[in-house]
Amino acid sequence: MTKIALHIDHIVKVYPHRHHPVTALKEVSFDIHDNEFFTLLGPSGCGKTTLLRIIAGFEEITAGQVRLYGDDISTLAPHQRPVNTVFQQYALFPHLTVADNVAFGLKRLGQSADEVKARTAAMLDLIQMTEYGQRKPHELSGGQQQRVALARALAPAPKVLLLDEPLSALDLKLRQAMREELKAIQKQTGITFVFVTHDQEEALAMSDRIAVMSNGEVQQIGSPQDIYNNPRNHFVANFIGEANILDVTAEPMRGGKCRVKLANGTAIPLEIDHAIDAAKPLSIMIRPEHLSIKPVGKKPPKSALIGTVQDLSYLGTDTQLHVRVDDRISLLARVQNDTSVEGALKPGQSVQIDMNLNAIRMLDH
Amino acid sequence: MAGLLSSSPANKAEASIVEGRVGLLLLPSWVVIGILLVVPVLIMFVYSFLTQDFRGGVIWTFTLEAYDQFFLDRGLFGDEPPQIEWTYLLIFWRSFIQALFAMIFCLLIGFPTAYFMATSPPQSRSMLLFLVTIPYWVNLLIRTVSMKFLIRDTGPINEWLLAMGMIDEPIRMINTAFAVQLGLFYSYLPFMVLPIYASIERYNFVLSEAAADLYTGRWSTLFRVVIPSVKPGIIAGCILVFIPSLGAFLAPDLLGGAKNFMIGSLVEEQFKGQAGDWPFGAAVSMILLTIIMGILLVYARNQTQSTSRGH
Repeated sequence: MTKIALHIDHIVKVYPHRHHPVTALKEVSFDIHDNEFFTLLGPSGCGKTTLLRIIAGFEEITAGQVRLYGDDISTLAPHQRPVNTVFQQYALFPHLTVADNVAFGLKRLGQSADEVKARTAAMLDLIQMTEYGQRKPHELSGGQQQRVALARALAPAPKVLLLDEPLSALDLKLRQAMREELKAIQKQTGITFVFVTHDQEEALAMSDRIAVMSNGEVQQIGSPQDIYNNPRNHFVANFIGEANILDVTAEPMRGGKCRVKLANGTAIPLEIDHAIDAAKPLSIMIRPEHLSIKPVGKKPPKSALIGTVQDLSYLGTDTQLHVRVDDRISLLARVQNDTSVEGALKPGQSVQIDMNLNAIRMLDH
Repeated sequence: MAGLLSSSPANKAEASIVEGRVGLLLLPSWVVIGILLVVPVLIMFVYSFLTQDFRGGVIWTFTLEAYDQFFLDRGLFGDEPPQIEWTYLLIFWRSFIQALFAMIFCLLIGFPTAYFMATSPPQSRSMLLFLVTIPYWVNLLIRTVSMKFLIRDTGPINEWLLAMGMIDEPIRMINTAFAVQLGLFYSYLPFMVLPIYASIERYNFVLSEAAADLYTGRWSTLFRVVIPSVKPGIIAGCILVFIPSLGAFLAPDLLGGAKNFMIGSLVEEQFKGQAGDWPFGAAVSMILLTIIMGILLVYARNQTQSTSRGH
C-alpha cells in the first residue's frame, strides 16, 4: 500500500470579513501519497493557494485537520513544520548571497558549519549554479533566482515541498525547460512535491496526480490521463484542454447500453457503465481531436452530422476549426496538418462530422 | 550613467548631449543649493579665520585665534605654555553622548511605532501618518517651553505625584541631562519614525513568510531578515536624529540649564547679542561640520564596500 504523505481532512477555510464572510475552502478532503508529484490545479480564486498556505502554516484552518505522515500539524507554526515552500515571486533574501540564502534554513535547524557547507554545495550543484554562490539575488536572472529558491527550499530536506505557481513569472521557453528540470529533481530527491498552478498544460506535463479545484471544492482527482480522458463534470471537461459539450436526452436500452439524442435529433449509441437518471438534464463531452471532418460526399449517411465551417485557425501542427451544425450545436474540431483534408477545408464549406464513439463521455452536472 | 550609454563613439556623443541637457535642467537646484548651502558654509569657513570685532562682526585680518582658543589653554592672560583646552572638548563630548542617546531612544521607540504603522490596514495608515506630524503644527520653541512647564518642580507631573502621595518632595527634572534627553527625543522622534515607516512599507512581507518557512522564529526573523532589509531607512532615521540633536540649542537651553551646555548653545551664544565672538562661533561650526562629514564619509565608504562585495 502506498504511504500517505499528507492527509487533508475536511478542511474548511472561512475569511471572516465584516459584512460577508468568504468561504475559500468547503470541506476539502484528499490524500497526497509519499514521493508523489501532486498538483493543485484551478482558476484563480478556486482555493488552491489557500490550501497550500494552510499546509505551510501561513493560514489558520477554520475547521479540519492536516496530517503529515500521520502527525497532526494543524496547530504548528510555520517554522515548526518540516515542509518548505518555493514562493511565486521567489522571495530570496536580498541582503544575503546565493549560498547564504540556500544555507539559511540549514543554519536555523542548527546543523554544524561543515554540514551546512556540504549541503549548500550539493544543492548549488543540483541546480547547476555552483559558480554563482557569492552573487546577490539581484544579480541573477529570473530563471536563476527561481532555481536558487528551489535549492533553498530543498536544502533542509523537507518531508513535503510546496510550490506556489513557481514558473508563472518565467517566459515560455524557460518555463518549459524548468518543467522538465522540476520533474527530474523530484524523481532524483524522492521528496513529495505539492505544486499549485492555474496552467493545465503544466499540470498535465509534470504531475503524477492532479486535483482539479474550483469554488473551494475539489472537482476531481486523478492521473493526467484520467482527468483528460474521463472528466467527471462540466467544469473539469472545460478547464482541462478543450471540449465540446452537448446537451442530450437519453433513452436506456437493453444490455447496459443507451442511446442519446442531440438537440437536433441525431441519435448516438453509447455504452454507459452506470445507471442514468433520464429525467435529469444530461450532456456528453467529446474532445476536438476525436472529431473527424471531411468534405460532404455525394451520399452522406442519414445519421451523419453535417455542418458548415465557420472559421479556421492554423496552429502549426494542427488546424482548428469551428463547425456550425445548427443554431443549437456548434463544434470545435482539430485536424492534423499532415492529412490531405486540411488543404481542402475552407470557410463556408459543408462538411461531414464523424465522432469517435469511444471517446464520448457522459458528464455529471 | 555615462558608462552605461557609451558603448560606441556615436552613443558617446549622444550621451554627452543628453548629459548637457540634464545639466541644464539641474541648474535651478544647483542655484538653490549654491545660495542656501555652499555660500553660507563658505562664509562661515572664511569668518573662522578672521579677527573678532568686539561689537559683534569681524575684522578682516587673517588669524588662527579662533581655533587656538578652541583647542589650547594659554592661561588667563595668554602668556602661559599652551595646554589642551578641555572646556569645549567636554561640551563636544557631552553633546555627542546626548545625541547618541537621543538617537538610540528614538530608534527603540520609533522602530516599533513605524512597524505598527506600516503593518496597519492601508486605510488607517494615512491617519497614523497625520497623527505623527501633528506636533509640527506648533512651533518647536513653544513645544519646548511647554515641556519645561510640564516637568518643572511645580509642574503638573510633580504636583500630581505629590497629591497622590507617591513622593514627598518634587522630583528634580528640569535643568538635568534627563530633561535635555527628553527634549531631544521629543523633538526628533518623527524624523526616526518617518524614514523607517517608508522602508517598512516597501518591505516585502513574503520574505518574513519565507524565513518562517525556513524554521526561523519571530524574533530571529526580525533581526535576520526584517532589519537587514529595512536598514537604509534605519540609517536615514539615525542620521536625521543624530545630526540635528548634536547641534540642537533649544532643548539644551530651555531644559538643560548651564550644566548641560551643548554645542548648539555654544555656537548660538557667539552670534547672539553684543558679547558674541563670530570667528569663534564659525570655528566651532567648522569643527563640528568636519567631524560629521568624517563620520558620514566613513559610513558611506563601508556601505559601498559591503554592496560591491561578491562581484
